[in-house]
Amino acid sequence: MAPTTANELKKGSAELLILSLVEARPRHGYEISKLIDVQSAGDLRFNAASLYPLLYRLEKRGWIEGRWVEKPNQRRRRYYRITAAGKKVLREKRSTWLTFVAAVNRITGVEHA
Amino acid sequence: MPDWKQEIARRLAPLHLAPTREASVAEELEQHAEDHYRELIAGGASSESARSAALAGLDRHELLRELRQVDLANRPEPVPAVSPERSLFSGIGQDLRYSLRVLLKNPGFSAIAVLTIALGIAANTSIFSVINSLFLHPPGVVDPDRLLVIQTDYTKLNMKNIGVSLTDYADVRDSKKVFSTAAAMQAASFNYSAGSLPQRLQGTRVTWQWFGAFGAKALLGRTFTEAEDLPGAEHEVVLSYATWQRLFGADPAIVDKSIVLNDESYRVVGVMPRDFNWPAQGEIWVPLGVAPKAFGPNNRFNESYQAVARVAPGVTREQAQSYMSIITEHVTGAGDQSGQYAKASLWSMHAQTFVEAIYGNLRTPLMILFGSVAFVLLICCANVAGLLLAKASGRARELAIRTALGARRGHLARQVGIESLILAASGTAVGILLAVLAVRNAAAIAPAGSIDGVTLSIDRTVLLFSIGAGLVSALLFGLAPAFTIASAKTFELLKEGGRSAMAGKGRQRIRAALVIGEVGLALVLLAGSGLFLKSLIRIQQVNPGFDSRGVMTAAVSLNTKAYKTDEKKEMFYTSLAHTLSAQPGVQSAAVVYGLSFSPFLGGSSFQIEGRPSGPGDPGPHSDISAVTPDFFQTLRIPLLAGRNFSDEDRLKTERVVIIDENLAKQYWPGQNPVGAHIGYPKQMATVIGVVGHVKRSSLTDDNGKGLRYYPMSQLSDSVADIVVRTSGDPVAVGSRIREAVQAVDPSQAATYDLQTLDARVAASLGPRRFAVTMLLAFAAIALFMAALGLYGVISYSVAQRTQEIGVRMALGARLSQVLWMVLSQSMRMVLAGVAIGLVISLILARMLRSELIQVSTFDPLTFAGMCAVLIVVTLAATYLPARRAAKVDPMVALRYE
Repeated sequence: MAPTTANELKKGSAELLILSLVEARPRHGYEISKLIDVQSAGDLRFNAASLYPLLYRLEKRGWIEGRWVEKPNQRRRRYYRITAAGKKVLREKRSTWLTFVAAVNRITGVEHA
Repeated sequence: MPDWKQEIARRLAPLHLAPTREASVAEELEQHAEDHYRELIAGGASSESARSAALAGLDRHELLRELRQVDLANRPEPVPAVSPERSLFSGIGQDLRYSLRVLLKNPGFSAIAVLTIALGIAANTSIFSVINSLFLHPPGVVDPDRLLVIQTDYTKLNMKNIGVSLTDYADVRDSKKVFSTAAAMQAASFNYSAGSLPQRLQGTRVTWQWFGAFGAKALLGRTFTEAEDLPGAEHEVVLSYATWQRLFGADPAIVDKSIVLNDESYRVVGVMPRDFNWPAQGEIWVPLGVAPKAFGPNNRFNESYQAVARVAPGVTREQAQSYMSIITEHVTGAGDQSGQYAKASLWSMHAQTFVEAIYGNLRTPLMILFGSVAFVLLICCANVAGLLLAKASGRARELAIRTALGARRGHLARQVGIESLILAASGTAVGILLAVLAVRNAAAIAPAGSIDGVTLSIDRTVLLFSIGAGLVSALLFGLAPAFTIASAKTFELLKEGGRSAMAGKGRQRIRAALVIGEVGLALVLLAGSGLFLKSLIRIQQVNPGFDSRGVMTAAVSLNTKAYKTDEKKEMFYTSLAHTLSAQPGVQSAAVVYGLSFSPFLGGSSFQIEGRPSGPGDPGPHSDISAVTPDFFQTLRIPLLAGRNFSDEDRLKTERVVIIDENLAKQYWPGQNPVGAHIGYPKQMATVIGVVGHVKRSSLTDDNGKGLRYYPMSQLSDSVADIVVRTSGDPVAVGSRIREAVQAVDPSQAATYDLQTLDARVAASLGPRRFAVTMLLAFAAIALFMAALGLYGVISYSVAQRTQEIGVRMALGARLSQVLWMVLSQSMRMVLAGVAIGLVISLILARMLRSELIQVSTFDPLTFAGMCAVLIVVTLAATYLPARRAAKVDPMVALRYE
């Protein structure tokens, strides 16, 4: 996928990505950005300037919750965990996404080409 | 390792985030940048390229754009223990406790401030409670704005605001669309006989709707029914609360009992509540009970009633008032005889609001007093503001330290605001208490008769007013100190707190301005009260045309049943006059109907023989009076021409009349009226003499109307006044008057209303005297406050300049020079205040010139005198601090530094 298109798509799906990543366990900002980078094999990349505002926005909506956590011999970090409301949103977004992808695939014939 | 912190802070700066929020965001981004950097370095990148790559991820424009879209006001983090207050009201309880502690630590200061405010609030509350009880919420009247008093004018005859006739009343009563209820009344006198001596009761004969028109209900029993308001059925009585208490010991079973009035039995049907006193001083009410035909057109010009009418729902008061001119046009437009008369005499009917009709004459004096108490409150506020500023100077160091420790100036200003509010609240509370005391004793200080029957009270309206005045005061006196703190720079506070000599220069200037204002306002009050005092003194010196000194008066009322005929009345009055004259200590005595400054005044039209008046011409008109022969001698009214009445002028002898000089000038200019025949058709009387003019009811207003005197034997009523001249104390003759009346008729005549003629004349000036007394009191308070304010500023200034004064003295300044230095500082402020005050006084005096009778609005003596009083008092207030300055020991002053 060409980077430009990826960037455009990523905006719409960013919320879904973040919610998915913090679903299993709380993660801090750098970890989230690293996971997106690694798991998408470099196709998706968030720099700090857009990632953190996005985290704050989700937090503001009550979907995730950030909390400073101190660990021995480490700098404290802010960990984000998903809230109950966030889980519900994630379920909806996932199913919408899957429906959307399936529809796009059917039309563009990617699957059965 | 690069310093991310500074760079990130720079990038976040344009967002102006709350500090804690900013710190949290920055920390997160900083870590991110650092993690990124370490990773790149670990991957073999040069530190320079790693750094720029990490920073590139924090693109400045993107960061700002994205962060701006997030509402960062929401702070999920718990608020750290040390944080600025979140809103204007957080921590208010703490401030409140702190302020109370500060105020209690300075009990002297706080007490003076509270008392000053209390004085201003008390004066305002008292005066406002009078305005409220008279004009806004007159007791016993529901919805007073919609209750009108119907009156008539004969402009041509110089008669204004007289009562109405039953015909006039019926016109209003029957205008159901405009007036829902109308009622008429007539004053009546009743002799109540319970023991041996008859007691006179001030009664009112009313149409049955009277109480309903006021919206009043009986406390016990009921009021009258329509059926009782008919001739022959009118033997019911409603008692006033006071009468019920006084005569019947508040007997709860009084209803349905019978009492004897004028030798007839009346059944008590009800008792009115305490607050219903309409008309004022009425003791009992009985039904008017006139035949329906009395309301017919023939009685149009017999105005012996007062009428009230309540505006119907849906009709505005203005509409109801303009409806009166429709009635007037209806009468004047009818071509009949009464229409012509009404037209020729410029007769008209009009309606005033109830309160205006009853208390209209008190409106201006009360407004003047209200204005002056507002001035007093302003001065009090200026004083407290001065005190607070002085205290703020003393607290400069405290405030500076608190600012340096992180307290925000807004917070400190709020603190001062809270202190002001606490002072204002306490002052208002004390002021209201003082006002309650004053109002409770109002009967003792208010002029007799002016507000009788009105119970002054501090009700909810008054309380709201007082609280409002208190809040405004807090704003006024709290503003300057709060403002100086809010606007001051920390280093200035510290500087001022550190060095005493320069402390609070700005504040001193504001205090000086406040004192100048106080002095100005005080002069306005002094000059105003001076002018009114001079006016009052001049009015009291007005010659009423008779000599009131050494004259005792009383009223006598006869039982109309026992004194039905003119012969009986003639006999009673003649023998009463003789008996009075024979009493020891009495120089001369007379009986009179229509005595000046008595309630029994009236007038009538008459004819002059040989001068027929044209059709519809109202003809000559004058006041009338009836007197026994010694009247003119007793009051020392000069006989200018002809002869006096004598005992030979009897009921059956030739009808005679004496006229006063005004009537003589009016109708016989340049001629001798003696011998002329005047009066009513078939009842012409010969003019036998001319006497001097006398004032009738007021020393200030004289409409110049003439007066006809008839012999008491030829024109008598069932009420009359007694006048007795004595060489001794007139009050002591009072008992002689009672004895004389009893000697002539022990059972059917009641004596009441004993007072000296001087007192009657003085009572006519009661409201004016009261207003002047109050004005003087307020001016005195103002003067005292201004002096206090000046004293405060000068003492403070002297204390601050101790070192300077010490230096001056060490350098050879003389004692007188130091004294002069202080005095001149004070003098400058006083003179500035005087200049301002003079200008305002002159403007106000011009505005009030119609009230300033007999005195010029810029009476130089008054103004000069009051300026002198002000200057002397205020400079005296400066003397103490000046002396203190002069006693400064240079060595001590310098060592102190």
